[in-house]
Amino acid sequence: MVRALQTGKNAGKEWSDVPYGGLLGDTVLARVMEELIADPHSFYRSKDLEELTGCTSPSIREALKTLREYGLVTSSGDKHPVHSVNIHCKTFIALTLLAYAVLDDQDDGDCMDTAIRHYCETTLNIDQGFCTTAVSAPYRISDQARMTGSAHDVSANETYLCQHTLATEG
Amino acid sequence: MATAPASDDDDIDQEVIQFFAWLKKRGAKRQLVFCKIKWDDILETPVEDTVALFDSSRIAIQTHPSTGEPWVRLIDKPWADTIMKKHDEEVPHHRHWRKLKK
Repeated sequence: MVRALQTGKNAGKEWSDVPYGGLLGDTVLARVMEELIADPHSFYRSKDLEELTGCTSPSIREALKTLREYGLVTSSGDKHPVHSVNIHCKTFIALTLLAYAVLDDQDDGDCMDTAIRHYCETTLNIDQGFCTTAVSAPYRISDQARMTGSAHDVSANETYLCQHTLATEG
Repeated sequence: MATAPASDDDDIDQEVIQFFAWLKKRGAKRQLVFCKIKWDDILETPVEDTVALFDSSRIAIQTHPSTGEPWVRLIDKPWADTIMKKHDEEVPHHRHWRKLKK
């Protein structure tokens, strides 16, 4: 019943609940992965994931084994293992951004860009003000005091590194 | 009361923000029944009551047009982004460990 609820056969895309919009297929692995990525703060037992995904216990164990092999999940305890997401694994970060990307492509949104900007600022310590992309109509940078190089026509979508008042093509 | 009304975003519980983040990473929508399985033990109030604390233009329970089942939909995603950014929930790099469900 749970499985039938999740698949929502007659539902349109707007109401679809297939992991990552169906990009990775509607597999047990994709379901478990989506559930874990969506909440990395929890510890999970296999039975929690059974409830949340509607998948069977052996298939959940198999999915967790695969995710452990990729370093995305760590498990502890022998008899009743407890699983958690390795948030320092780059795959975790990439899959989080993928979740936003799929949402953006469906809704024409901006969630992934927002998340990337925030990630750059807080984790990679990249100052977004340092790197900019020209998006305005073409204009001309003239030779002025403190500017090096000759006059240059700037077009949209060219990327420049800006250091104080010095503009150099990047 | 731990959860604040919509007008005071700064006072929203961390667990509520994590609920928004979970929803957003699952396509910004999920059947209410699964939201309850996952979140009723974690949130201070049941999912329906938590959703009702916010303006329906931001998050709402809607009925599936063909099955009639209730779904929770995160509608105002830029608003959720702003809150999630403040609490490092966009791409979490610090973990707020939560106890195992009983």
